[in-house]
Amino acid sequence: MEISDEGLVERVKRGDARAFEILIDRHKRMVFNVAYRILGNRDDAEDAAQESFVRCYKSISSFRGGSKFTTWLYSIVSNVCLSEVGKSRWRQEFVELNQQAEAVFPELSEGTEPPEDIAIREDFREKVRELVRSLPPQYRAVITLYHFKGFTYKELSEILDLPVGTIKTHLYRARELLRKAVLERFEGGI
Amino acid sequence: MDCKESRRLLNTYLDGLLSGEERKAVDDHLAVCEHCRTHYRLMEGILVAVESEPILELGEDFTERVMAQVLKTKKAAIFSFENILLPVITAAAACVGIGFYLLWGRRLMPVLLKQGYLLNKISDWLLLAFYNWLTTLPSRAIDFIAELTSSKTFEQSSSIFGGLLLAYIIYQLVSLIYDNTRIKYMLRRFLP
Repeated sequence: MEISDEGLVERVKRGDARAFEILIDRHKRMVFNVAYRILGNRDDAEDAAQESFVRCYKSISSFRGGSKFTTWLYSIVSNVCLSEVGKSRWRQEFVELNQQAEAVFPELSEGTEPPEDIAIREDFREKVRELVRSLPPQYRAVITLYHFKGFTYKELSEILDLPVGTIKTHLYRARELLRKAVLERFEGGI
Repeated sequence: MDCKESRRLLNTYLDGLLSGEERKAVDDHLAVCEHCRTHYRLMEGILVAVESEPILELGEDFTERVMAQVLKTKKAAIFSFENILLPVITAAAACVGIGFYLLWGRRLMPVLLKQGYLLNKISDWLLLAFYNWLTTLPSRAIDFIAELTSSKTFEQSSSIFGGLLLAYIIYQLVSLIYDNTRIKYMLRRFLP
């Protein structure tokens, strides 16, 4: 039977390095992919994933099991990634884009109705992914952890250390920014 | 339901977190309002695109590289605060304590012993504290053992113990060379 993450953490606390190796193997792929979606660069994402696991090991004795191991691990990952992109920089972008999101709620113009199958069109998907990468890092983190990793609002609130209400607002604004950007990009029909 | 209300609920609708009644109201509105339906489809299309991003693979030696760094960290931890500085601080504190007792301890004890009332009170408090401690002992013992085996407390308490042992060894070594009178004399030269 497969040992749970929490069981492995207990073994790591007792000095079992092999248990930590199993934890890395179990989570490295998703940690790397989440970091890649937040940072938008393969090398930076690999460095961030490595740094996240090292920090995780260093502070593993502080993990008390009040939350799931993955929630705790991804709080480290998002901290590493957001400090990597420079909080001062994203804060500025964040304020500007928040104002845009509040000021502009573009209405769909005639003739822009998307066909039923837009989501399966690869060019559409690729453009959307590009646009996600252009969102401010904090929004990228929320969108990635919610839609890609599948965390709940409550788990996101623990990971990003923000109230659930703020998480909902971030998610809503990120989606609105994306929708607006998609409409601008595909002006005249999708 | 009007368009404004439908837009307000759209995100929660997309997340599948609306109550049955609200969900049905949005469904009914989307069935009759082309504008909101278009809005909904676009949003859904965007989210499907976000979720369908292909998974990238990591280099095969990733785990090895992380483990090499982790083990380096572990080695560095041998020279950490708990292992070096804490025993030294404890030993220094204990040496100062022993010095204090040797210099002024015997003079202070009779003064304290004269305060009979105070001593009675202190012994009452101690008895009460002891009783409290005794009643919670089983649960404390379990917590303590769990704590000892899994946290920094274990490292710190063993370091403090190490420090005390060090102080005792220093004291014994000094006593081997000098008797108490000489130690007192030496301490007076350093302490006020």
